[in-house]
Amino acid sequence: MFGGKKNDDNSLDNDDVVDYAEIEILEENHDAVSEEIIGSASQKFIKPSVISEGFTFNGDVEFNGSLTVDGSIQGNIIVDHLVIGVAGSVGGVIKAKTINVKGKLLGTISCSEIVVGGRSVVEGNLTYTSITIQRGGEVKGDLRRI
Amino acid sequence: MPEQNQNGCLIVGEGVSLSGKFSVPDIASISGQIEGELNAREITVGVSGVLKGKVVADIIDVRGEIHEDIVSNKSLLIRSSGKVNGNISYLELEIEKGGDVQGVLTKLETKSFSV
Repeated sequence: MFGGKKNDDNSLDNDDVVDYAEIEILEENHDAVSEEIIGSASQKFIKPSVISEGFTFNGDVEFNGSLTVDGSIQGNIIVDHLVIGVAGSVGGVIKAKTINVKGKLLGTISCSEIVVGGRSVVEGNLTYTSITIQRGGEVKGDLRRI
Repeated sequence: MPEQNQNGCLIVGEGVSLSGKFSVPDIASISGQIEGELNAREITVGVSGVLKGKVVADIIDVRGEIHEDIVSNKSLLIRSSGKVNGNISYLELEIEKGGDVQGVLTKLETKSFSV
């Protein structure tokens, strides 16, 4: 009798343990999936860095994440994703995977994908793989596709 | 549109190749090949169209290829299948994703539109 009961208890405990383990695995999978959606490059830096309006920065920037510029930044910039807001301006040598311009972008630019918004200005040498310019966007300088 | 009103229009069908200097008062719709100078009010380059030489127009819509000089006094639209290389002067520019643009881009100064 006792032995049987013990076994029952044990089996219940085991079930509980298994359930927790399953839940943990599910949660891990969920995290992995959400990171995949955000992009493998920004796995470690999910939050974008922001240069706010009115903020001026001179210097070099290098990081594997997303940089949003509403202020002004000058220098050598290497990022994965660069977003320039309406009030933002970026100058210098810029390397990025994707660039989305709504403000001003000047200098030597190389990227795989660039989107130039309707009221934005891009000036300088631009090397790209894919380009989209919305109507009214201003692009001056040398364009080269790779 | 050029099919309906053919006054002042130039239509170059696929497979046709021309060379020389062309002055078109209205719409030039190009699906063949043109080498030389082309002046028109509006130029539409079809997917199979290829232009080589100097191209001047108010409105240019490119689904094919344009090589060398391009001057668009009003709007230049490069579609996703469009390929453009050379010196490009424009007043208003739009490039669809996938459009291939190489060369020097210059924005013309705003002047009074001749509508």
